Amino acid sequence: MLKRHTPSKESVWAEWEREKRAAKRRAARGPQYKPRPTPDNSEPWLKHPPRTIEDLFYISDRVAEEAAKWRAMLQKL
Amino acid sequence: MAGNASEIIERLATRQRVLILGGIAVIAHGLSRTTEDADVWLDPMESIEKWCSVVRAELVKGATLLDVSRHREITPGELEEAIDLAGMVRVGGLDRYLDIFYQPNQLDLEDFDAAWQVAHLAIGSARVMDERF
Repeated sequence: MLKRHTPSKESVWAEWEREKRAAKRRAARGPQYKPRPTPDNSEPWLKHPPRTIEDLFYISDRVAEEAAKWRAMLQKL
Repeated sequence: MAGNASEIIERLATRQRVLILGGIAVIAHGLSRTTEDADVWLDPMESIEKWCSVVRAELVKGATLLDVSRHREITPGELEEAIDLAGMVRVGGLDRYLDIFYQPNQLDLEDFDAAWQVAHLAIGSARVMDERF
């Protein structure tokens, strides 16, 4: 049988406390506060934000390539 | 290589509700990182049998099913048993591994509806798991 996740009393309490703190922070910021927009990671790899799953894999592969390139460069030092 | 993981996800998402999880969800939310595989949560539907029949219908020729809890390849007929044990199945033989979850770790089957409702970001026909989950 699959193991069901049942939250503990402590975790429910902790989550409630976390939500209360978040609500307090939101209230302190005031109505003029604008939330930070979602970062756009399409640059420099795509001309638009990712729209398809292929776009997501494309970004992942480019990041992996970039990391490998930097790793190789650092090993030469 | 039997096919692309992205094509299978898209096909599943046109027929059933699919939530994107894991690394590709993080990228969809605008962060740059790498990922080796694709994780999706396919609507648990009313029974494991129905869920498995949907997965089996989308398998392309050459794709393999892997039971990650017992580290072995399984036949399509053994899918129900693997899902009952691990709550997910890994599809191999594609351009990258595709992990299809029936019940992701630490989430209940009943959480799917709530997760689907709050997932505001869509990629193709699938939705991306919201960071609140």
